[in-house]
Amino acid sequence: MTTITPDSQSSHSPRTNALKVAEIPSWVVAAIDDEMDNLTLVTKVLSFNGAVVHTAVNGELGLELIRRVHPTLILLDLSMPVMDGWALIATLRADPTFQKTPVIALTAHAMVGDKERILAGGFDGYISKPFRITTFLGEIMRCLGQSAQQA
Amino acid sequence: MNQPLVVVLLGATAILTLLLAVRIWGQRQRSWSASVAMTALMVGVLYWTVLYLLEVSSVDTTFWLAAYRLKFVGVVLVPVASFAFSAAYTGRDALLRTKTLAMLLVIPLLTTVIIWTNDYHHLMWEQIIRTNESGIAATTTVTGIWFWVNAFYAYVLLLGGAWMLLRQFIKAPSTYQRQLVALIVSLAAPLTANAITLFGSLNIDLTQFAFAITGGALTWGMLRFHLLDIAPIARNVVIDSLPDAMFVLDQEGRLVDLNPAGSSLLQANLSTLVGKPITEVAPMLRQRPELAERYRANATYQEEVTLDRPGEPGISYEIRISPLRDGRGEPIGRVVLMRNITERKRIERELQAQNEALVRANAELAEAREIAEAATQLKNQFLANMSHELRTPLNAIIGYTEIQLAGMTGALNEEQTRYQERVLANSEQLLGLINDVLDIAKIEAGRMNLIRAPFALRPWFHDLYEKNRVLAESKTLDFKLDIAADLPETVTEDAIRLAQVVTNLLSNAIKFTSQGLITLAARRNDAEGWQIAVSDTGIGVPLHAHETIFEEFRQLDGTSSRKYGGTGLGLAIARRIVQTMGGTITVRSELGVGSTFTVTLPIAKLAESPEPLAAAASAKTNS
Repeated sequence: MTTITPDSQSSHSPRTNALKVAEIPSWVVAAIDDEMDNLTLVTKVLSFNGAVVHTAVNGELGLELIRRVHPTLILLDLSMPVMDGWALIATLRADPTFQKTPVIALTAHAMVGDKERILAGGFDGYISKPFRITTFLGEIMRCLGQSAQQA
Repeated sequence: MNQPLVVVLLGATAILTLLLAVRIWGQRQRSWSASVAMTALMVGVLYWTVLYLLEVSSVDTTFWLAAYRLKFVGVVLVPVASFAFSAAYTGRDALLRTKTLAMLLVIPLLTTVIIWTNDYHHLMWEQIIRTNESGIAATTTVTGIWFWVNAFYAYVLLLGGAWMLLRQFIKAPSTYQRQLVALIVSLAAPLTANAITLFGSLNIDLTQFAFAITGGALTWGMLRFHLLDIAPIARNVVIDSLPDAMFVLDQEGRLVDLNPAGSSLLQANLSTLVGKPITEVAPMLRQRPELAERYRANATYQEEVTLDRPGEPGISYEIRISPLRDGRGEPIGRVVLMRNITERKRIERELQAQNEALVRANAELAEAREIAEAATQLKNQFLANMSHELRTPLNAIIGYTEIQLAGMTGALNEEQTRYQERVLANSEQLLGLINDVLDIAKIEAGRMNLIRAPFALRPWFHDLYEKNRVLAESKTLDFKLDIAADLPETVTEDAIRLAQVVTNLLSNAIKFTSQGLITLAARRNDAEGWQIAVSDTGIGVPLHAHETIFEEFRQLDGTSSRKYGGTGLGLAIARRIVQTMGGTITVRSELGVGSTFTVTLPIAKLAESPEPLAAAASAKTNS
């Protein structure tokens, strides 16, 4: 079993009030990635913990999906065909409806400087691939906590 | 005229010439040769006057004759001195050489000898009588042949001097003309007087009194017009030796004067050119009629033109025109200076060409640098793509393995679990290898450019602490953060790269420690630097390995990578980064007790911060 503790980090994070690990069953997650394996993994981990996970294989389909399901959290890859993660985040941040929706970059771009570029690009957080199942939810909460702190 | 009046006049003349001699001698610093000649002239006149005074006033016949004879030393010297003065004043230095002067003194010397030996040959006088008509003592002679030779010689010298001054007078600007009037009067007076004496019926030598006029005119000239100022002489010398062609034009544009460089330029001399319009005598102005038009204006004017001379095309001149004005400020003409600047132009062109070559070379360098930068950019892009493409499949491998190990796909048996754990461990090692190899590749590619910026030191440490806390907790290790109060608030350094170093040290410390305490500490070292120290209570590093652990691909031994994982690149990367920052990284360790890795960075990177924070941040977690 994944060992997710409702950790102490959430205490200093206002944004996580909206998304609590304990309330994962109420989460609606949109995972957007052209790597089917990754979508499978994310879906498996999050739905195992009770969340509803929707997936899309590129940014365009992802945008469609987001507009349809209004997710509480978006996990977004960067390098994708048709419409990449950069274009999608720009569209979301320009849209009043999704301006505040938490978006975490889940990407294999892990060179020095990537994280800073990503956070500057409008993402709320950054998790590099390969991500760890055991710490995945903790990472999500940490990202959101940080993002809420910075906001 | 009676005897006392003659005596008084002669006395006055003597006193005047004495004063003038002293005064002019005092001015010899200003123009040496002219002053010396003028002093000699004055002394000669003084002597002549005094001896004449003795001659006319002597009672004794022997004494009178001796005075008459002695007087002639002055009489013969005066014309020579006068001539020398004119030569000096008009700058004809060629006439002032010792040899020339010696030649000029030949006849005076002969005259003197002849006077004293007259009794034997009567060349100077055939008869000499002392007269005393109407109360005035005088000497009357029946002149001999040499008397006329001497007189002729004296006239030649005096007239020659006057001619030199007159020439100067014609050429000189009006400011100096009055000076010259004074001089000419001073020289013309004795000539005239002497002529009257020689050819007239007066039995008294008027020349003496004329020399009073000479003295007066000279005094006036000196006081009023600074007669002996160096200016006229120096001016001539300067203008004649000037390499620039100089033309003086009158209001109608006619040539009034020009210097040797000017006549060489026009290939004609002054006498054939004077009075002719400059447009007529200057072929280069015929070439470019618009120039003559432009130069008609009286205003000061300056420009650079290129003109052709016969056989010498394309000579560049800098032309400068200045107006000449008389004493009342009315324009009376122009001075045109033409400086040959062909050589200067050529040097300027060469400089320009060199400049252009430099600019081109720079552009080529910039291009080469751009190409190099593009190549580095490509390399960098390749590394980024490599990283991405290697991580993507690893993500799937690690993810699926973890899902199975987590039991999300149903329970695994013991063997399955063991194998899946090996898949995970090997994947992790592969991931570490990928990270480190890419990092080393980046460093080798010279792409590790430090991005130095000031950052808040304490939040940065807290962030590092938080990130590694989870890992420390997972091994039930105590983890302590200790930041000294003497550290400033902000530091200028590459925060991300420095974090990479500290993270590496912390993950090593956690990795090689099974129980006890990990400490992340920072403090000021000395005036030179500040330190970050990561301490653990782990297995320690043997002394022989204290250096080699910082080398690429080194771990303690072959087995440790099996046991602890890792590629052996982490410390090498850390050291490269710290060295790039101008710092050092060292280890202090005891086997089985623990290790302390210390990063020392230059204090220059510390931003100035006058107020140290009182509270040392410290945190501790237990699990």
